[in-house]
Amino acid sequence: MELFVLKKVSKIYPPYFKALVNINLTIEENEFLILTGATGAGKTTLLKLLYKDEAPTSGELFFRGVPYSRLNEKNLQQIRRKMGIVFQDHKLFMELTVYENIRLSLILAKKRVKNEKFLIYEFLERFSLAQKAQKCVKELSGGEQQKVGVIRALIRDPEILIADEPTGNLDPKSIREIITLFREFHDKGSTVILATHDPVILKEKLGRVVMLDKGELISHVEVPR
Amino acid sequence: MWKYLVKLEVRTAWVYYLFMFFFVFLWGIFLFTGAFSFKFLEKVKDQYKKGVCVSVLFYPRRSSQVKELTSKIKNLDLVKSLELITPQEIYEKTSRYIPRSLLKIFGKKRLVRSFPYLINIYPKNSEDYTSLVKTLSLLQTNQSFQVITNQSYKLVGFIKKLQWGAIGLIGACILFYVWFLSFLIYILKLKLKSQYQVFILLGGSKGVLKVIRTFVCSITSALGFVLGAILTSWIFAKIAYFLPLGLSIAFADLLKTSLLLGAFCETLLILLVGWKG
Repeated sequence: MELFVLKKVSKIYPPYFKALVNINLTIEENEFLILTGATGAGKTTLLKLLYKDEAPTSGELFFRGVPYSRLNEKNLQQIRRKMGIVFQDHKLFMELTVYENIRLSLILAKKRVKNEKFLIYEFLERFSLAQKAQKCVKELSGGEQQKVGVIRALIRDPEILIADEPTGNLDPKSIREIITLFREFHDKGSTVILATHDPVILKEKLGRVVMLDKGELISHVEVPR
Repeated sequence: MWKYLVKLEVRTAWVYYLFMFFFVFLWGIFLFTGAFSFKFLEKVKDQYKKGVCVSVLFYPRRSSQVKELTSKIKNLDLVKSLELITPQEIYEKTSRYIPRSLLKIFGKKRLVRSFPYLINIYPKNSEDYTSLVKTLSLLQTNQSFQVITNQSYKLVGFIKKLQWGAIGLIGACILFYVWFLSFLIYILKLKLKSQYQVFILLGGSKGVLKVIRTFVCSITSALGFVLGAILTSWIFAKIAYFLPLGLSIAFADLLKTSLLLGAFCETLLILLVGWKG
């Protein structure tokens, strides 16, 4: 079943920067999609359109058959609760602690978890961050912040995981951990949409690879796992 | 969630909230000063208003003339009320100042007969004072009486002008308050925009953010208002006590007035945050 459908989608930033040009793309439920391309190719813009941080200049985007333009704030809120988003610039709440950042994400997802604290610490342990749970996020290094961003998205057990360069500042061990987690998520039935140009991830052959160049979709590569 | 959001709001924008607190505190003092000045002037005006009357000294040939004159004056449009003081009453009020030798020579009856009737005429409006004096002067041509004026009405007029000034000051204050707070809320919104954009992207609602901002803004400003009200009321209660105007305005009375004004401004703020926040 189609999860996202993009029909002739373009995004132009004023005055005339074409971030995306005439994109036609279908993302199926339970698909693992990797968006790749050089810096400035339009990967982040495409992801922003998917979680409706921005609207396309032209064309239409459908979520499970419903055009985004017809969705109201309440509908969008419900869709976003099903998503786990890893932002390129982390977008953490700098004044809150690591634990509070993750807990707030869980609360907003309206997920009922039996032992919430245990679950949070389990994730933190996996990324060697348990010792820093009560530290303010702004006291962490860039890599640690990135890990918190990943945990914040994964802990919600989202139906759709959208990750924008999730391995940018990370060490090889953490990259491996993230790849494993993403795989687990996909195997459980989640849809994973990942924007990256990290060769380590690309070599993993996790799913379909879509290449963007200067805002245009130039190739689809189906990778059998 | 609420706890985290309040923490986020306060920690990220504490400088702005501190600024808001000081602004509301100082502005509140300014506003309450205007309001209390109005109240003070009202009390002073009331005191002087009692003295705004035209006095007529009337020497009648027959006692029936007094009745005629008072009914004539009562029928004048400008007159609110009048007070008739008989020669006997004048004598009683002034007897202790009359030298005994004079009493011995003329006797009480003769003295009382030489005293006039005193008629205090109160105008409907202090602005009508001069017109009333003119009207009475016209009556004077046919009668044996003398019109005595006082200057209290001028003072009452001046106090009224001052009161209008105080109202203008309060109005300007409130306009400035609305404008400045709109500006402050706009800055606050800019400061927290990126944080709250993330909150929305994680599935949060804008309504929750408005409630949080309204809550924090209300607490901050209420604190500023209450402290400003207590300080200003205390200062004015002291001034009222020490001023030789015979004013007695209680601290609690002033505090009540200022808190009511503060509550009005607080409502304005809540509406502003709800609209622009």
